[in-house]
Amino acid sequence: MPSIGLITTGECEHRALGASLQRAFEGAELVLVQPFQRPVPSITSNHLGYPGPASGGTQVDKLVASIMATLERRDAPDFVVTIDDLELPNVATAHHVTQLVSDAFRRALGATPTHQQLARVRERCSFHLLCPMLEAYLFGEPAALERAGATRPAKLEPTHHLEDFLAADPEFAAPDEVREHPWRRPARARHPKRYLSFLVDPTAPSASPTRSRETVCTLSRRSSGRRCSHTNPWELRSRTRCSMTSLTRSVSRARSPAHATR
Amino acid sequence: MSFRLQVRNYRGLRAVDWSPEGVCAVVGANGSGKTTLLDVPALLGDALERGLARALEAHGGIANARNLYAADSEPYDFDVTVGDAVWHLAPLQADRGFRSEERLTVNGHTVVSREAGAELVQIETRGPDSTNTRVVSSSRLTDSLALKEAADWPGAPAAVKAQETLKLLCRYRLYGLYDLAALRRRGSPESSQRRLDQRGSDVFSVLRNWRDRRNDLERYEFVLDGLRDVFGDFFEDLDFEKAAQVVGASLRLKGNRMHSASLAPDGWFVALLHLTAVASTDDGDVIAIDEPENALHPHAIKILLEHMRAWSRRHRVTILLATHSPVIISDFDTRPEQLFVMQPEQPASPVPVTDLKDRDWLAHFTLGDLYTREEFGAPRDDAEHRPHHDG
Repeated sequence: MPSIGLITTGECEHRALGASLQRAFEGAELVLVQPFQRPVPSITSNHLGYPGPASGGTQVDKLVASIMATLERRDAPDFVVTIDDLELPNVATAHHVTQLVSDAFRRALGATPTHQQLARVRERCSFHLLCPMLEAYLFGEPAALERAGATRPAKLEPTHHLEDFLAADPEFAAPDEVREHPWRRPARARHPKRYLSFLVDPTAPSASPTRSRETVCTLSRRSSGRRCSHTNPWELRSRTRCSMTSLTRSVSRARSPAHATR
Repeated sequence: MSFRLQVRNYRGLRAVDWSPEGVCAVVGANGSGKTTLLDVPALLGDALERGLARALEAHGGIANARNLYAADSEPYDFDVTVGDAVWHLAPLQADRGFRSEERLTVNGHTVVSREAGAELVQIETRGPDSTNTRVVSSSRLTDSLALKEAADWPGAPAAVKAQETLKLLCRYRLYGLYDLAALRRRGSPESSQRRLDQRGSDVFSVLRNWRDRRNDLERYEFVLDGLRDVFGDFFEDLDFEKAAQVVGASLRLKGNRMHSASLAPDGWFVALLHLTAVASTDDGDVIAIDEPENALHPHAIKILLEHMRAWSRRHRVTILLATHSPVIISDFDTRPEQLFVMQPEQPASPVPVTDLKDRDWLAHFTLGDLYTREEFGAPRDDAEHRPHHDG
């Protein structure tokens, strides 16, 4: 049975994207495997300019090294799919990212790659960007938002494609009054993760941790509907455990696979 | 409230100009002055509480306080800015204790002053719009600082500003040198403390006090939540035991098993102490942790940083970390302006890494990789003194 190795760069993607993509191949006989225990570091946390440093040793080089190492394992999958968020700073220059990845593959292959090496890269791996990030695609299915814990309907600019995400929600766009809320950041109208955070609980305090954990943790705390500082920690934990899975469930149940840009 | 620290020629620090905010990291070669830098606010806080001479003696010795390479003509002083108030202190040792030059200025207007070598302190007792009545007060103690005198002066407009600066410095603590062996062996002495001491020896007492006070419950839950996040594979809760004026603790593990804290791994203790140190802060406080990575797994480090940032945001607390850990350094990839480098050849240290390297270039790397490759914060590039590695 053919196997596909899935390399992801975010916690939510790592937990749920495999199950979601598996649905896209219903009927096909294949196995999705995750070659790494944890997500690999994202390459798009900051705006990436082109050309990149010629010296190599960049984040992109490390990602490419992970892909090539996966292809060279003794139990290598037949195909390796790598998925990263494009992230807002790179939306206008997605071609920079793909070109940097291409350059990194050339560096990794060296000046005189063998035919076998070239064929392995050309035919057995692909790299995809979610635009601008995974959460945008949840807005394509209202039920997915509900599963993620949204307590109110989303209001999006109808003329915009999801990959050109733009919220049209006056409450979400309202000027800052309380800076504590994690979704209250500049340019938030284009940020699907912040809007989702708002839809889940606009009043929750900023409990939230990092980009990758942020979605899972803040959503879960929020969906408990209470400030963690005023709850019985045991109750919070048990609620948290249930809701921790809400976003990943939303992703893994999504009917259509993430729209991948090649 | 904004905080700025300026230092000239104190111990290994030739020139410092630093305005940290939020969670910031300081990196640099061994001996570049990271720990000394983080110790400066603690020194000044101590000086305000118990006098400059005793504070200097406790923080490395009076004889070593002035930079060894500073010429006599070069200044040796400290400036601390809190909001719109600047406190200037230039230590000056006289025959009978210190007679330092001191000044507190608010928006450029001097409200407290003492001339170098003088025993008198001038404190403005009315605002600048009214008659400038000044009261001359003799220092009660030979090395007591004018800022403290002003903070204690009832009704003076200067007192409020002096108190703000005094509060920030006296509440500042530098953590990291925990005495884990003593904590394991003896637990914590019972006390009513609600703030972790510098060595962490009272951690169980502090936690128990927080748990039992409604107003401090947020602090307690912050620590317990953090521990559960970091050690979710085994840790569930904490129980306290008191015997003979000592507070000890037991860990409740998965499966409802109990385990004495004295047998807990070092990493668990360090995480507990870091989280308690952070939760000991009030709104607007500044604290520091020296080498927070010690004894911690990279996974634990990352989660602890997330929790520190969450607390820092919620309470506008500034948390300063001196580190060599690529894991911590890489955690600043998306906020490189908060990673500071002790770079002695710069006119003033520490400098944001974004002042040393182009931000667009930095975006291609993890900062931890660059630090490991000695792209910044490296020892002075002196090839003759470097060991050769063949092959």
